[in-house]
Amino acid sequence: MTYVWRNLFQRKVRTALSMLGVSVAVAGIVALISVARGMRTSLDDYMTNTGASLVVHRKNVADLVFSTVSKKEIEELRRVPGVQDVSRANFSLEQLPKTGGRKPLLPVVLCFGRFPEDRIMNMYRAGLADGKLFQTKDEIIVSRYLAETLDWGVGTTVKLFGQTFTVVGTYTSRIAWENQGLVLHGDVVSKQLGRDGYTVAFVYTADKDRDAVQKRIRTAFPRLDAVPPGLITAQFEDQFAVLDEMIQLVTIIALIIGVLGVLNTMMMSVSERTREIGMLRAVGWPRRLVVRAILFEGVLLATIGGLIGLGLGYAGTELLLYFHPTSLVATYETATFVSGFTVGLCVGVLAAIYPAFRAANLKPVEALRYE
Amino acid sequence: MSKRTDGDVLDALVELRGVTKVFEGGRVHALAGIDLDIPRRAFVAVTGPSGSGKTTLLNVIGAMDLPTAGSIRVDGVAVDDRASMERVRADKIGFVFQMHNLIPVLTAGQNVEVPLVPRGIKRTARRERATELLDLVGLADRADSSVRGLSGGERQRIAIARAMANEPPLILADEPTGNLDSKTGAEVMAVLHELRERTGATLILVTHDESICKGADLRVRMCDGRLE
Repeated sequence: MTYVWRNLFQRKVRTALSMLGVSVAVAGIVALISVARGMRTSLDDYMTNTGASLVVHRKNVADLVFSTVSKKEIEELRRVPGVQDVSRANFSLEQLPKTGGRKPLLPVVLCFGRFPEDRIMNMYRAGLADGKLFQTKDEIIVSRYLAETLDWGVGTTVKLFGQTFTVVGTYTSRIAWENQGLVLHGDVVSKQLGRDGYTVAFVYTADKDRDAVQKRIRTAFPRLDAVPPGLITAQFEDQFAVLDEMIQLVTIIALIIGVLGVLNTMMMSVSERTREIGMLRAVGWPRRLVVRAILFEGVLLATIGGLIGLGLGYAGTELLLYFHPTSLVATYETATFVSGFTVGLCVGVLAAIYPAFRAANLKPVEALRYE
Repeated sequence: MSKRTDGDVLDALVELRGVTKVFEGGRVHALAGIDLDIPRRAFVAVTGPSGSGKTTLLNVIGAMDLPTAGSIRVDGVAVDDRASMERVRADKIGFVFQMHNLIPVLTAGQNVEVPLVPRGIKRTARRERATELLDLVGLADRADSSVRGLSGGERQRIAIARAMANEPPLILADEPTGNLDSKTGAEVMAVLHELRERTGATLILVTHDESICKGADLRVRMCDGRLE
């Protein structure tokens, strides 16, 4: 233990560089997963924030944006016993028009189609930062982030999909991706999408009636499904498969980079200590003890590097959020830190295996002659 | 059994029978059919010109290398495979190299403890043993010093203490004074002999220096891989 510890800490620069390699890999994983988890939870948060009891969408769609609820179905939903109100909503993702302002974080703008008379507008009323809510089809409200980034203040005229709109208000939201968007009349979005309906319907009920209404909707509308807003992510788990795959890919890349970095250090370390290892073998250290010492060195390096990486990952994510407070969100989970640390440990063990066996297989007589 | 120069008959600690070692696909015969018995408690000096096979002889006796042909027994244990080599090195032999080969990141005391680690001896007991040995080589006050700051003579004395750590019956020393001035070399040899006397270990010493062969119980002179 003393031998391993001192070997690491008497060669400070090399050890620090290796630890940095592990730390960066672990930090990257922690930051990526935390932001990805944040994106997932923000969808549920958004849905919950609408104040609706149920979100109604077309059954079996792979992604919520492909869902359609027709105008006729909206009218029928209004007549389901227990339903107090129904708000219509549609979404579109548009390219940003060329403006004189700075570029926002995303090169696209999220367009939320809503209706001035629907209850869901209460959400925007609560978050109104400046101006008023839109009332007509040529008025829009934009997030304060977009307004500040693109110089779209109240009174500005904006050209979107060939149509001119006046910004009548700005809003803030605690949902990150809502801060990347604007809200306009639902009919404008429907026309733009070429759909005679809406993406989803938000159904409002009394709390006690929610389960019964859900059951009635599921029975009466075989084409649709109704889920409580906090469970929408679970409903669209497949939608996040791409994100999960991306995380896995980044994890593998981080693992490879980390392994190569530590492997390089361990190989150098073993090479520099060839005579020393020869001496250890000469004075009776069996091969397994040499393997154990080198592996332990790798694990120790990775453990400390991993712990630093967890801290760096957290600090880095917080720094990102500090600079993009309205467009990014992160959710920290124990499993994320455990995953990051596990990857760090794997880096240490994998990178130390080859040098450990190489060291153990050195013939003492040849190792002692090594210059 | 082996016959000592003074005529006493003693048990052989090391037995070599027809030991041959060839290198480079048989082109170089470093050892050519050596038969040799080394008695217990003896001081054996191995001399000879460079390239005569002295170090190779020490390596095969020390279980650092296997002979190409022939057999070796150390303290009754046949050295014929990796496992027996490891066992013999751990239990039967202490090495003193020309270059002390101390671990620079460890203290003097920790260097002496190194051979005790594979034996599973507890840290406190290791520490006690190292202090005791450093006291015997006159370096008790340097136990916690980094070996980097020590003189060549001090380092070699630590290497001697390390070689004695496991109380091996056989000490192999390859030019232990080769890198030291004559005065320091003489001091190191005095320490080596004193410890050998105390422990009753056999000492096989490879050297070019005739002066340190004085008092040897057995002198082995090598030439072209053979005993003269």
